[in-house]
Amino acid sequence: MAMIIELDVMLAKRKMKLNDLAEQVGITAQNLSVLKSGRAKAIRFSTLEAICKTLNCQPGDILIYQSDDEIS
Amino acid sequence: MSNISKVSKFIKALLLFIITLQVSVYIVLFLFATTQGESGEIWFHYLGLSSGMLMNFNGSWADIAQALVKENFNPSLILGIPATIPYFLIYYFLYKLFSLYQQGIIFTVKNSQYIKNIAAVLIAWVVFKLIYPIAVTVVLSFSDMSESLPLILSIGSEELVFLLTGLIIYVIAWVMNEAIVLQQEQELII
Repeated sequence: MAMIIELDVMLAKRKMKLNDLAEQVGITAQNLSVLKSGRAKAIRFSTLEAICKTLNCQPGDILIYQSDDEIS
Repeated sequence: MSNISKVSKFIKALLLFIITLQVSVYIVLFLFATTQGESGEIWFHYLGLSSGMLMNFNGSWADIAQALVKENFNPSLILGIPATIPYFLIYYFLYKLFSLYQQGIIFTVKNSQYIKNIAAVLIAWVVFKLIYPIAVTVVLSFSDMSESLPLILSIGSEELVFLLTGLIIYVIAWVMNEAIVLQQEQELII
């Protein structure tokens, strides 16, 4: 998929664990792991807002668009 | 969801009650039925009680039941037992389905499979209902047990209602499959 989730990069920058983020955002670690691994089909604005608030970042820091040509 | 659970529990209890009632009626019928009526219904006389039409057939089954009575066969055994099979299959699938609903499992492949099975039983029952009287006549004639049993094939409103119900339930099972796809997608929305 052309959308790349760079949640792990942001987590590393903030020195935060996935479980802690899940707890603060209010979703399960399992769901957050689905999001991190790129298996998610969509992300709710509310989830995105909570993640950005917790990590103190912009949506563009987590979601990156890469065209299929670039990937191949 | 809790309402679905509660109602499912009630429906399961109701199903168990119906199954028990039906099984006990059949047991009583097979053990104590004394007279068989003209149109295939069975009269039950026991301990001063007398009740009729515990098992009545209609359409081609009533005709074949009548013919079997005339030939001194027992229609409750030849027709009664096969007639109960679809009921118990449907009860079984309904019980399984509502067990899932009770546990809060509503949109899974299993649910849709049980609904599909119920539809399949209904449709198969229509086919069986048409073929079985002919099969009974053919088997009894070829085994030299009877010569005058007629070949009966008839389609009545009951068969059409069963067929329509079966088809509608089949389509509902398809719709359920679509719901399962939606549910799976929903699970991937974080």
